[in-house]
Amino acid sequence: MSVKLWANSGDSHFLEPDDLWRARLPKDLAELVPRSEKDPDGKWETVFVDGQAFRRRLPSISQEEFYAASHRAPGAGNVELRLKDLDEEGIWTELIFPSLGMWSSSFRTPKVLREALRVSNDWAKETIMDYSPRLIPTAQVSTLSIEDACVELKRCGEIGYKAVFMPVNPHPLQKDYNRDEWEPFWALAEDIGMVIAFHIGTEPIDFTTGGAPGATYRGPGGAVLNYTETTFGGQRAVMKLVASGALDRHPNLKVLVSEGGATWVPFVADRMEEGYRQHSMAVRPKLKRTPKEIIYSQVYASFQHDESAVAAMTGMGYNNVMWGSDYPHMEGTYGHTQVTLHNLFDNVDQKVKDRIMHGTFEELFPHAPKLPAPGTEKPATASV
Amino acid sequence: MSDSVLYDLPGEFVSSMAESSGYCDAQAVLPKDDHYIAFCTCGRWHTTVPTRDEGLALARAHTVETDSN
Repeated sequence: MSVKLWANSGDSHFLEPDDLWRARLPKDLAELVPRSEKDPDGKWETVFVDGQAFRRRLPSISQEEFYAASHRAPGAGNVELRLKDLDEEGIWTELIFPSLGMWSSSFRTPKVLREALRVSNDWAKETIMDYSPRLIPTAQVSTLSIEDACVELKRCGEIGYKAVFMPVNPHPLQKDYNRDEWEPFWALAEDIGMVIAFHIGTEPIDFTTGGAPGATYRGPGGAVLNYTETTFGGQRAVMKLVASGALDRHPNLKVLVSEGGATWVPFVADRMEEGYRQHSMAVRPKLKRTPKEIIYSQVYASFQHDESAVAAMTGMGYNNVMWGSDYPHMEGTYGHTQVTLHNLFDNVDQKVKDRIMHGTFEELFPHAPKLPAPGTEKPATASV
Repeated sequence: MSDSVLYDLPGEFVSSMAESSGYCDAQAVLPKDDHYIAFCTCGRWHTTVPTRDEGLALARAHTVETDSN
């Protein structure tokens, strides 16, 4: 029988109660947060968000089965059951992204978004963070109002958050991440040691242009094309923070791109390096360090299955590679984590294995509890 | 709670619409100034209405009509 391996996860998710916002917000705000209603004919559903309505055909039976499978893990929305799942899978500490908060770019009213995310942050602290040091939830802030984002980021730092979830693009009504308007936010995050945690696939839905929603593919290959497409937003977010000088100005600011793989980092670093050098006459702002130096020292990347990810470290010299389970999602390793870890790391040098399975994570989150030795079946703190 | 669309990533929500059969995959009713605009992803239906409910009613009528074609 294989030795049980333990790893930290740089990419996990928690399903909050779907009535969290409605239950905790004042009535006038609660009416504006997202809710869904199925049509009487059972064929359509409508999502209401902040005065807007989006109606879509209900997923097919096969799509419903896919979504149900994504949420099948017993601990998806329950911290007690979650730790049992993690112990079984061999996952020790995890960075946990929200679920409801992924919809925040669909809000239009700054106050509603601000108060909803404040509720989410208080709930995640009480329910997740305070339950076990193995569970590290990400804070959430508005990307509609940068001023609101700064106020909430500061408050979250004060109550114990170590990372903040950011969608790969800001709210459609806000300036992009490469613009100077975001400078106070990056400065504050560096000052309080808050990791910027981008998660792939979180581009805002912007129906307001009147056109078809987002970049999507139809027809042959659509499912794979659409899934692969979700990867690129994280790369673009990093490019913006590097090219605009934000990371250069804040050398202690750390950025994580979760679920997006790892070998893209050396690739993007090379492309930006070439652009910075060969187009130097047009480059603004000038950077004190090269794009590659900035990326290799301040950008971290998580993957779950990618066979090439280890080579980003061993073959390309990029050390900030981090494993992640994507628990409990369909794309993740729930149910086969041990097989995945053994397949990825059994023939890898111990130093590389330690770095990717837990060392990179511990560098970003040094307060995280140390993981059990390989082979430990029932860790001492299995329950909490 | 596992069947709530709100647990989908927004991108997955969009993708699921695109992967649906037919062209009338989704409609939106959005406030604009003192009225609402309503349209369908098929690109053949868009209108202006005084209320959100009226927009949704017309969206339903639109998909009933196109479903029967």
